[in-house]
Amino acid sequence: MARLIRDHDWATTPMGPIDGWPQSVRTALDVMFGLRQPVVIAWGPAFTSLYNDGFTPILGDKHPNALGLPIAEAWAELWDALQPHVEAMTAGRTHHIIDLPVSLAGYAGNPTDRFAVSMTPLRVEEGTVVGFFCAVTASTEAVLPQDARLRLALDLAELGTWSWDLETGEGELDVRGAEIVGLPSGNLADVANAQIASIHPDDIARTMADVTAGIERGSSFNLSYRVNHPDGTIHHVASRARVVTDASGRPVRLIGTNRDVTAERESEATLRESEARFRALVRASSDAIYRMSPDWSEMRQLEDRTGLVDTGEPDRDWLRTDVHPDDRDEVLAAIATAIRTKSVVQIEHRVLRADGSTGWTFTRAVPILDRAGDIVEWFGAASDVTERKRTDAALRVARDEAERRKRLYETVTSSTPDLIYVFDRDYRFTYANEALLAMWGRTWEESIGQGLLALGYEPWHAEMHEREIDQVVATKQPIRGEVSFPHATLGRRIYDYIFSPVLDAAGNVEAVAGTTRDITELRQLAQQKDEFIGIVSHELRTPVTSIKAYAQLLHRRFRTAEDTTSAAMVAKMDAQLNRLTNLIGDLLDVTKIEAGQLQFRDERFEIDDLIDEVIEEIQHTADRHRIVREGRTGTRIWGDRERIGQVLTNLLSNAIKYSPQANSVIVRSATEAGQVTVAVQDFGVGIAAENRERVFERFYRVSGLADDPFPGIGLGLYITAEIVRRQGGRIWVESERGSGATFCFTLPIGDDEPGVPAQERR
Amino acid sequence: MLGGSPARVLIADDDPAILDALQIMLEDEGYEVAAIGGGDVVRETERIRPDVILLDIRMSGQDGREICRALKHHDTAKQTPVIMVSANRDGAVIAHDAGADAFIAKPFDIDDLLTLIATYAGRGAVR
Repeated sequence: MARLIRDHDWATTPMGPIDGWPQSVRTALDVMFGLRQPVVIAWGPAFTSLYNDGFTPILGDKHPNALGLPIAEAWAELWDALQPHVEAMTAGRTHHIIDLPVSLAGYAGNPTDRFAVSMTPLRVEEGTVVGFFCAVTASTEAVLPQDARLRLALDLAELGTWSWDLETGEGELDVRGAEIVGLPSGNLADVANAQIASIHPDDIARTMADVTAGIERGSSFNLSYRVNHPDGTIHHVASRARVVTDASGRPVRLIGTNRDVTAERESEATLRESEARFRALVRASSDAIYRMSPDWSEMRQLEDRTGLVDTGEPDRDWLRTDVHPDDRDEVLAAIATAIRTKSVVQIEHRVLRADGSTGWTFTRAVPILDRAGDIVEWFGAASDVTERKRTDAALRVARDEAERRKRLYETVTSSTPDLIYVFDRDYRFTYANEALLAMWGRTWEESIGQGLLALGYEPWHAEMHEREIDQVVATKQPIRGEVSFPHATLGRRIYDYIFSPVLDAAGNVEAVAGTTRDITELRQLAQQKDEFIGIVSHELRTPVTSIKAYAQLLHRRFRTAEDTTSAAMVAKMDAQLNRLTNLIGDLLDVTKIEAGQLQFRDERFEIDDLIDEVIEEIQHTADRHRIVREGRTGTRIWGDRERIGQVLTNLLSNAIKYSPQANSVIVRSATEAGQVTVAVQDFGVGIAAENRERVFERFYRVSGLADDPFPGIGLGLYITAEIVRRQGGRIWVESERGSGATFCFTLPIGDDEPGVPAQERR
Repeated sequence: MLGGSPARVLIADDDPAILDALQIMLEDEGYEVAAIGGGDVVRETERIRPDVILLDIRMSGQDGREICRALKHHDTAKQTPVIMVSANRDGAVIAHDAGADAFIAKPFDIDDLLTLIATYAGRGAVR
């Protein structure tokens, strides 16, 4: 075929003699003649067709006439399909593969056979496309020769092929192989150097070292490098090469493949970048990150901020140094499961910190799998949950304590006979203990949430409690009262109750809690006590009365008989009877004060007269002291004459009793600012400052000594003070120890309203 | 209460010792004394027609207050002054409420009692 073309008379065609054809065309012709594969070259103004021997079977009986014809004529039946590709080629597209049905007239093969046509432009020095090199491969099995099938496989794998002679550097570079490294394809004078020259300057040294090393090893090796393409882009290329040796084992040739891995490298880079971002995120949001070998025997890395020791070097002892002994089995079990199932490890366990303390960590590790699905390593992140654990524990303790208290309170409230309850601010019961439910004769469900009326309280009673609840809410102070209520089984009972405010965190009353005690029996006891007092009062005084009457009768008869000695003896008996009478009277008075039953019979009277009477009476029995009266009130007051007389008697008796060395007592009286003031001054032992208020307490004795030189039961001043207070006055003492005492009291003059007794004017 | 004739005192008290002592004492003073330890005080008053009644607040089985009220609501007996006697210091209030004319607490001073009886018996002081 080469001969046929060379002998053709080209000089008469627009392309001129063959020696004048462009170098690229002549090189392409040489390539074509060297290939068994079907190749067509079309060039010149009309794209004259030239082809090799491999192409003749496709042409069938069109050969040899087709040689030298414009392709538009030679393959007129295909021109419609080819023309756009040819035009794209001449417009500068570097490479083009079209899949065509080559149903050329005269083709001897199967009409359905298809061919893949690979087109490469042919350029002159100025870059103008003058023609194209067109390699044709049958893409149908039947017409595909063995090597073509391989080529197709290479094509599909997007692999280019090349081979070098290690001595001369000559070799082959197929179309794809060339394209991948940005070179023209075909038999290059020095494929080795051309390919090496295409490598990115930064990668040449490393790549050549790899090549040299690979040749020395004498087997297959991989290369990875970047190349510069004519369009200025940088591509990543992965090459695999194999060393071919001669019979003596000397390397003579290198054959290999090229693959453009730019997209993969870029996606790897993207992946690496996103993984780096992910790790940074995990690092930022976790207290620790770590990497583990596939079976967790080795910790490859640990960056920790929770107090563990960081591991720069692989650590095979991490379980012992980092994990709390009691948790190791659990940790190992979780790991074993995760390794088996290739799933995430997730566990909360205690850790041993470098400072010896124990912490809690929540850790999570994901397995990193390779393409085969095997675990390469584990990547883990952990959070320090020590604080949360502590809080949890504290909460649990608090909750247990609250439960315990609740049980305690429930036991207490359910076992007490007292009524315990809580009202909300709308007067509804939100709690009622068992005793209260029993009083109502209702169940919890029937009662809780109900108001007073619904629970059977009479309207006045409900109204009273609602006002009391309002008052507690408004004043935040407890309130106490007494009321009777019909118990469901015990009948009408008397109850003493206290409502107390329940304050919320802000200090507002959120509820009103109440306790109520059945005081029916107390009241009955009090009544019995009153009755007892009455009986004692009568039974003690009655014999005294008759003894006293007989004594006085005797006194009168001795006096009439002028038996003065006997009369004096009976008079002393009478004085002792008076002491006994007063003692009984004081005891009964105290009992009445305690019971709130001290009664008064108020009237208007001359206080000056009363003072005179009492002084006269006391003076009558006082041998040593002279009672001096200073000042007069000139006032009629409203009060109980008898009881006020008792006050004066007590104070004067005390003044004499506690000043045994003195010989006078002074009683001063005056009226000022609407009240009467009376002062009784003695010159006796006096009262220490710290005892001045206590002298008015019940059973208080000034000396407190067993061998008290001043006998008495400590009731006089208590009763005296109580009478003065109940009469609307005030009592106090001015004294220093050893310099006597002055007891003072005031009494209101009182308005002239006979209907108003003194005790109601307080 | 005719001139010259001794004043008549009715004493009602459930304590025989008191009744005895008072009877001796009042008779020493020249009074005509009727002493009863119980029974119907109103009927006795009607029968004896005393010038003054000395009535204990607490009578066995009877309430002196009720007796006093009965006397004070009786057609003829209501004219007779009643002096109530009690071992209770607050008896004054009770006596007042029951309509008694006077009150004296047990144990009493004999002179005070005689003065009171003399006053209400319309004879003034006897000594």
